[in-house]
Amino acid sequence: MTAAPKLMTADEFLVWCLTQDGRWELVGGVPVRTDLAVDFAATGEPIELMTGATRRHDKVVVNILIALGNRLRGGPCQPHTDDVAFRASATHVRRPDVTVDCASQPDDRLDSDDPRAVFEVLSPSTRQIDRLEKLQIYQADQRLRHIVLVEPAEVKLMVWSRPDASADWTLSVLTRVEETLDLDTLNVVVPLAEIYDGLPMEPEA
Amino acid sequence: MTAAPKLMTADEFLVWCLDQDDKWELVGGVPVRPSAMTGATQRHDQIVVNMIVCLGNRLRGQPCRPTTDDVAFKAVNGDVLRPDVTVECGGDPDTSLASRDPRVVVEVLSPSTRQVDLIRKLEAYKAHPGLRHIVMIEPDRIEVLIWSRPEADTPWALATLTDLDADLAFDALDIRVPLSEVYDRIAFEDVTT
Repeated sequence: MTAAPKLMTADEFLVWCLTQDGRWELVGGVPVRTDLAVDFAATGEPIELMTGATRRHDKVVVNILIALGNRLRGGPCQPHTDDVAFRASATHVRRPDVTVDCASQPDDRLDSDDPRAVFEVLSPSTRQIDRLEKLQIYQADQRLRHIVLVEPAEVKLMVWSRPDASADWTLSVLTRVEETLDLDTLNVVVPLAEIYDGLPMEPEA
Repeated sequence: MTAAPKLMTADEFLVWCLDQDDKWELVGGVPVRPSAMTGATQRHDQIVVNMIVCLGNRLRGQPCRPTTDDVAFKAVNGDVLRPDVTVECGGDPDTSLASRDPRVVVEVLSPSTRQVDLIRKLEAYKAHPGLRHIVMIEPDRIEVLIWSRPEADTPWALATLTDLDADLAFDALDIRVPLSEVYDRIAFEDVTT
């Protein structure tokens, strides 16, 4: 056993990241490598969740960036990649695959200023933690209006939305490529066909 | 002193990455953690997103597509790099972790990566027979360097662009991207836009 590590604040973490690695997140004051799915609550050790991305996973991320970037152009909000951190609290920093930030101008900050929507493209190794642990963190954030989980291997989006911070989250599940993702607080509607553009689907087994 | 580590191949490295972290690179058989891979400023990321959007829009329906730095680039010497943006032309997206048939790489420079990007990475990119364009973007002023060659055995030609009205000419992809789109939403301290 090693001594219990000193807990980090979000500010300390973001600076520390610059000399360590880009794919860490901060969970309860403890840096966590986002690369291998492990039950970290049980171990207390820094856990690794998942690493890199497959071409397929990345294609979905790129499709979302393009769809949002085109529709939000000229407005105050814009999409960011997972290189821009999401500060959930003083001791939680996450890296959503895509964040829509409604700050005025891109600056030298390492995290988003006013995140309004987050997207996570699921993968087998992160699916559990994304769905349960991250979802809780995102739902508790006062700034967020939309949380979107995307299955890359099949047409399936889970979308939690609320019109304001005091309203309850409502979940809708989209499974047909003819449907649209409605991010109403951003005045953006994205056809699922764009999110899954260029992705051949396995025929139903 | 610890024992000298066994050198890794690119394939071993990509599998190893799955258990370690996605932002490592492989240099001379040794995994390295470039500090620039550690998150990014909003400004840096805005330029990356701008490139992905304008390349993605122009390439839609064609066989080539942009990827983020989550997709790795295998250099011919065995190194594994993570360009900020890669345009690959290797068929349908699958479950591989590295780009297939990369044609263009884009790096947005930052103070911590400028030296290594310009020297080590440039040499690795130039040595790749499939690449036709290498782009280095300065985020703090309007300056884009683009190395291009029409074929694998022709010499690289460098063009330096410093005007927002200038076009990045991706001849190998038959598209052009104006610098005004590259720097969309980016404000410069000493330039009024």
